[in-house]
Amino acid sequence: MTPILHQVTEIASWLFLIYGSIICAGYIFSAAFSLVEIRDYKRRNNFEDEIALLQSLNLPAISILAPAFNEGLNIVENVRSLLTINYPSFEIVIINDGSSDDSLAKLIEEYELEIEQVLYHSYIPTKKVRGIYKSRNKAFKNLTVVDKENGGKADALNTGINICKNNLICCIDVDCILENDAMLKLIKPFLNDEKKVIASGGVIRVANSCIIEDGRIIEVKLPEKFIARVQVLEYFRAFLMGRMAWSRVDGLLLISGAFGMFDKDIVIQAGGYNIHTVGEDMELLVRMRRMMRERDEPYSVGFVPDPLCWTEVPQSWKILQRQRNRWTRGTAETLWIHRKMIFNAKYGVLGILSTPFWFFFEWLAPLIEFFGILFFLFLLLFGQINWLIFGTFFTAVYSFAFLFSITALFFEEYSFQQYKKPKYIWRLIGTALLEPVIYHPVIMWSAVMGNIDLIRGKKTWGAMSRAGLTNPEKKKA
Amino acid sequence: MKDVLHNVTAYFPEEWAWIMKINALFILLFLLLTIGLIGFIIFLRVEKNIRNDKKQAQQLLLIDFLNSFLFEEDFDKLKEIEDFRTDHLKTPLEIKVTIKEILLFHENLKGESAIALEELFLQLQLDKFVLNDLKKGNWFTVARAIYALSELGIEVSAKKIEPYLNDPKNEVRQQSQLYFLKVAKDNPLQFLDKTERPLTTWQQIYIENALKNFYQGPAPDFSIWLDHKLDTVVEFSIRMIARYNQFENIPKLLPFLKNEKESIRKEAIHALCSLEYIELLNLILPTFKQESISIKKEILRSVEQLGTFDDLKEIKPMLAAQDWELKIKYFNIEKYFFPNKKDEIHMQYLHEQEMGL
Repeated sequence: MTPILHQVTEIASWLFLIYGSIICAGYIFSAAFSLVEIRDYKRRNNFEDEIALLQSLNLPAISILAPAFNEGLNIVENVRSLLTINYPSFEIVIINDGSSDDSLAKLIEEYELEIEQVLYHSYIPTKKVRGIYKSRNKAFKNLTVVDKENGGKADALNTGINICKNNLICCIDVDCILENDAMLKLIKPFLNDEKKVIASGGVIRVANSCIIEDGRIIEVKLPEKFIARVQVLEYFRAFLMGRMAWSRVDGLLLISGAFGMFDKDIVIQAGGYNIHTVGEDMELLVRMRRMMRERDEPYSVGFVPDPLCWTEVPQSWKILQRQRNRWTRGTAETLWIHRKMIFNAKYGVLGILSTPFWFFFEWLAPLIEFFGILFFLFLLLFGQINWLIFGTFFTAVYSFAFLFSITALFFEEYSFQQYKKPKYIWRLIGTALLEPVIYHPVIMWSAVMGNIDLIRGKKTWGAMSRAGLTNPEKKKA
Repeated sequence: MKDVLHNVTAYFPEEWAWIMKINALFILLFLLLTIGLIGFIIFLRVEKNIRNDKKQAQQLLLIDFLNSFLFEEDFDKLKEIEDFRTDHLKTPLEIKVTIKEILLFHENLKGESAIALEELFLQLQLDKFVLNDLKKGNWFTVARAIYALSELGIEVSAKKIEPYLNDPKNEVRQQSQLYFLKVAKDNPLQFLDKTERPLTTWQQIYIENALKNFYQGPAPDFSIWLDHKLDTVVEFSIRMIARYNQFENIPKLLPFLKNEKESIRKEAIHALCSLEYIELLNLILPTFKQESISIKKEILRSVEQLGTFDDLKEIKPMLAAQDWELKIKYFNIEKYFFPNKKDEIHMQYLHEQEMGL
């Protein structure tokens, strides 16, 4: 190796080390902020049961928007589950996004739907609406089904926004399972803040292997499969550590597309969901926040750490890779669209902290990690590896990753303790031990491929088939 | 620190490069933290389980005790209460569970049983524990203490609670508002006079609920707070005038139709419409064009409730071409007036939409 190359190697090693250290420091800060936020949340909510308020007629009405594409297998049960939501005043708007299966026919038959002439205006341009259906049966008077040409999830949600009646909209995945008081908890930030609240989001939990009856979680179980179990840990980290911390400093950039509530007027003023990105959920919130900031209007974004929404996570590596590939593209697209905000003090915490963090540590991290691996191979090729140093460094990084997952597990135990059986703790610790070597490389690779696909101009979601959430015991039988 | 580092690294082989020593140090640190956290998780789990067991045992004991206390005639109240107090109220957990359980029973019972529970609370001297919480000064213990006091209607000196009406924490403010409301024999909203921070919508919903479900006395005259310095209190009072059908206050509401605050104007229109004040349309239709979208929507709603198609027609020329939200509302009201012409009206709307009229 030439002296210059040696010097370059030395500098690169230091850069990787500094980058890694900053990430670790970021995680430590985020853990500290989350802990304070969760503690405060528990204190605010541990003495009074608010369920009684569900009988009040003074709560504002909500429109629940659920796009559906080829969900024929479970659509009838999913809608039934949504119709049993415990909230005094709501409408369910199912948007059939040009499904090629029998979703619409099943809905028409089961819920006695017929076309109704509903007046609406397309505040946000969308694909053509073929028909708006309402039920003849008064038991389903809250249900509206919109049939439209296929245009993707963002387009379907925009259609729902145009057609729905109420000023508060809750965008959810049609197959997610909501807790009994989910709507009440999610609406509380809108009603209990002196500032204008433009959106609020909740924690998403993994429903795989849970016992479900009549669209409700009866017993929380840890997923049987490693791939789903590791996502339980990942969701703990993302929601209980990441988003809680961002919420504490009012720097939240993402409300999950699976479950979030928004002020409809602000959504429309911001232009609705962006149909040109696959990260429409993140992009919308960033755009709404940016708009409010540019208008200089005080506002806030709420976040509720209670487990309010349960969803099925991918159980196959292929589907998981597609999902993460899409998330990477969505992040990159959003950051590119709003690049003006990065390091821009005009946007406050969003400009100084959130967007730079997402840029350097969410989008760039897998790429740097990938280049780190290439760099390692390069050193290996030139026989420049000191195996003792490598061994100690690798162990240090591995033990930090393990510590990080254990911290997330601690947060869950400290806050909501959903996994009650003692054996689940040991299984999650075991999963945390394996994650850095089995799961993490796949996620990193998916992110790298996501960036490559982005450069190639890929805009599709990719098929996201699901196993379906049913009672596992019934399934066995 | 330097010494500690030196002492720890002294255990590593001397031939190790400094970077390896640092790595090894971090491994040790992370491992120790991980083991500590796992230990803490297990401790939390065990502690929670033990706590839950104790909680359950206390709850079972209490259910028996409370049922006997409330419903058994030959229950020796004085002796049993004294025994319970000395034997089963020794730890903070036992006291907390007892308070919670009594509150739960109290919530589900009314009349004599509820009063008996309030007396029992005092006889068990649980009020001392609650008052102690109130003195502690942590916002969350204060909120919890005020909550317990208000649920059981235990009155303490107003001076002890009043400062919390303007506490920076929403939860503390809300509990103190509910306290004054629930212990009041009359004038339940007197606390509004001392309120200096805006009422959130959530608090307003709670206050209204408590007024309807807990307060037993005569309905207050809400017009007293129409000149309150806080807009949210004024809006709340206007709304309550309508909810409680206080028709006698209609003249006092009229000036608010011209209030400079949009939210107050809107609330006034809504209230007068609910009170079916027939002159309302004559007052609000002429100003339709100058109003904001949300007020215009409220005016349209009033036309639907109180007006005729002629009133509605008056609005048509004042709708701007791009006011789609208002136009939809307009056509929906037209459909309401002429249910047999729904298709025609729908076509008319589509036509206007297409032509951009």
